[in-house]
Amino acid sequence: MDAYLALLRGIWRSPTGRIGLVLVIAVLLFAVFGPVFSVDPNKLAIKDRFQAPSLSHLLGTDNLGRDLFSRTAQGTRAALIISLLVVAMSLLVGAIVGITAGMAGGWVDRAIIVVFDIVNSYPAVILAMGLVALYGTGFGNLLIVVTILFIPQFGRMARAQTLSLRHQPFIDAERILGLPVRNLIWRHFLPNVLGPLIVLASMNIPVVITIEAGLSFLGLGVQPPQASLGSLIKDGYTFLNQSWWPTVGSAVTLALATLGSTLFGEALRDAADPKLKGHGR
Amino acid sequence: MSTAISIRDARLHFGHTRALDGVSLDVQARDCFGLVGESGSGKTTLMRVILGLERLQSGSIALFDTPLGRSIRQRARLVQAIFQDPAASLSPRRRIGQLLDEVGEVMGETREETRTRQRSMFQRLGLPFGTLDKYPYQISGGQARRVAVARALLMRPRILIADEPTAGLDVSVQGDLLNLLQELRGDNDLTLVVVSHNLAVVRLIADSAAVMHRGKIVEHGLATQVFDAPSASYTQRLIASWPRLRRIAV
Amino acid sequence: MSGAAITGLNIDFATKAGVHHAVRNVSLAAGSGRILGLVGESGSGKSTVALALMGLLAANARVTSGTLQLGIDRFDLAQPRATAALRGRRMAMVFQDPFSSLNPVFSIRAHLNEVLSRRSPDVTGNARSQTAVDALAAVGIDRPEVRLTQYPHELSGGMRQRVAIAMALLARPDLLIADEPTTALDATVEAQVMKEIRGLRDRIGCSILLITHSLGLVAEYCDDVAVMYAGELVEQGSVKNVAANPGHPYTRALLACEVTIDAPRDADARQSRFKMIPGDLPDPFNPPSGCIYRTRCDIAIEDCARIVPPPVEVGSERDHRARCIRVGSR
Repeated sequence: MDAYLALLRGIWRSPTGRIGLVLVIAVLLFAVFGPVFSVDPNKLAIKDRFQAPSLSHLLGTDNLGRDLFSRTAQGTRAALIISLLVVAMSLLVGAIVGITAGMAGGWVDRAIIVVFDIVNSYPAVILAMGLVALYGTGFGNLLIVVTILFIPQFGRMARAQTLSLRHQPFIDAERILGLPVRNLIWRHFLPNVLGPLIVLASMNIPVVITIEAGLSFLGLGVQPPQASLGSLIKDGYTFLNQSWWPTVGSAVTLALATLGSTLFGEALRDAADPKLKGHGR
Repeated sequence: MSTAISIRDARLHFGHTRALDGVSLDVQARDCFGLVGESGSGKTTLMRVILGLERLQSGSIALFDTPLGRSIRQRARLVQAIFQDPAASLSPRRRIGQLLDEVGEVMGETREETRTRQRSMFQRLGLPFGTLDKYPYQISGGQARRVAVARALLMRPRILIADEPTAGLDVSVQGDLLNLLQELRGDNDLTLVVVSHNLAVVRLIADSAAVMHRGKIVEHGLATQVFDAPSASYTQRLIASWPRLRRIAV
Repeated sequence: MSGAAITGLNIDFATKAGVHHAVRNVSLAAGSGRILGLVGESGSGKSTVALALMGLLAANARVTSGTLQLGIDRFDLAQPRATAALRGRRMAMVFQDPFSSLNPVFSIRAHLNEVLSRRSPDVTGNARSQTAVDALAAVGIDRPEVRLTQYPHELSGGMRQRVAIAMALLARPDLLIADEPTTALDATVEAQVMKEIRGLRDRIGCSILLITHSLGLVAEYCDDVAVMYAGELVEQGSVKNVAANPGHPYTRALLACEVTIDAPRDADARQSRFKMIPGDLPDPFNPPSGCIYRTRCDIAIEDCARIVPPPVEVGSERDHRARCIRVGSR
């Protein structure tokens, strides 16, 4: 427990980390409570379209009269859910595959690396577009597609950590105690492999947010009438001549979410560093 | 007098390198055995093989006349080790107390029994009880060394291997650990194996010794003979290159 | 060449816990054509002294005062880049980690050429190649022509150190600083490399500052010795005098702790006991008053807490000085 508190303290110490933490919390609050305190995001009211921000519509209305505050909040919620799910799943799968590669060695290792390289060699958005074109849109497919994009990164890191940990003195010391293998892996191996992976995960969240927004912008991500930051930006962009509010709200939110999670992730990485090496002093 | 460790024609290659090239030796029970050699000699590999961290490609090892299979658990009750970098031999994300509780787990003891033994071991080694709640990175190097010794001894091994016990230690503090090892030999029914490149120290502490070079044993016998009257030319060269203090006319 | 002398060196480290006075008022003299062994344990500050001379201190370190006298020239070490111009010319360094001296992407020839082009820019072409070959042969490297074409990773640790020494040979420095040059090497290789370092002294008559933690090494290969403890110089003199008649209790204790290959040995190894110096290094941010060593000293008296001991002549040996108010007592 105190290790986690120490991490938070470390993040707070860095000025950019502080900004990141504040932004992340703000965005989280927006996503969680925003929809609660606003009107139905899908309620059409054509006569109220393109309104500027007012007390009844904090961020104005879009081309179909829908309240932008609630739509942006809903979009932010989608972005966060997707990014957290994708990062969690790719971490899990990547860790399993990477550790297997590191432990097995030989042709198994080489085969896994080749698969990683193949996935990595495609530009992310093109690959995503291709997969969506093949398997169709939809929340589930979107999750799977973006997860596949990130598995190699986590896999490589898990493999590298495994290779370096295998020969660490403390692993030798635990082995000679005669500790059952499952305890060795669960207590001593995994926590040290997962540590850096979690930091990587936090740094990937903004990337997933951006990719999801990009895909939605292209119409390949979250489908209407569900709101997504990307599709909001696209709609706003289409009607830019008539009102610039729709674009602003979602674009700013996207920027703050990305910036906040990036700064937070970097501060987390820096705070976690000395602990990872085990020499906290 | 039984044989604590009996090795016959041990062979292990890593690719082209012959880490162990037909090694045979006996370590008598309750002896202090010095295994010396330069880097790449194979002494560390031999140690790892005895501990079960590496497997021989051919040849055999028996501890107290029990031939060893693949099972490390069997070995764990017979032989333990303290490694060269003691701080690195403690799992970084667990508290010292948790690490030592694992000994009790492996030995099938109750928590109570383990805790009692931990406390008396700490007392004997001069470690404050508060150390049990700390993480490895929170204790000093000297304390980490003692924790590693405690853990090894709590396993009640019959053979204790010390891997480069003086490496990285200042001359003014190495005596502490060396005297501790001597004490341990006296109290327990312990066979001590010291793996080291420090010829001068091994000469004083070992009853018997073996010199390794490129995976082979080039000399072995009583320490007095190996160090003071070596027959192999490699050993002679090795001892001749060791810097001497008393060359100066006193 | 007329020797190197360091006077009044003080180095501070700025840390989160405060200012650490890592080196305090250290003065050393490495005579021309002599090897001075600077010996000390962890925390003694010996490596810090070497790094300060070469201008390689960490960013949070500062030389607050000190001068280096090389021949007739004087350098103020408190100035940034004070010795930058000397590097590779009048001052050369051999590091503990052979890879620190050698750049892995350059061939051995490239390394030697770099030194040669600075030192004797007019020698080029075949003459330069021959000089390089001769330098490698001079330090006992076999097949020097072949070695020139090789890269550092193709050579063993001992050979890399010899290349570093060859580079020093070519630079013809006034002062060679060797910072634990053999610590990472096996005993047999160590003996060979130290022989080459001694050969360097004989061949070009430079001063050599050998930094080490091993008294044995100092006794075997050095002419003079300076002993450091916790940032201060406690004793200095010729190896012969200091080893035969140590003036400072720390030096005496250190000599007693050193385990020699020919130490007297009981027939029963169980009887062997090892000496140590009890106690810990002083808190760097809160050093004891008076003598820095008094908390671990076996002959400390009340006055040791009041007086910071000045250097005192030991026996009647000129140039053998120890900083202890009880020199001569046991």
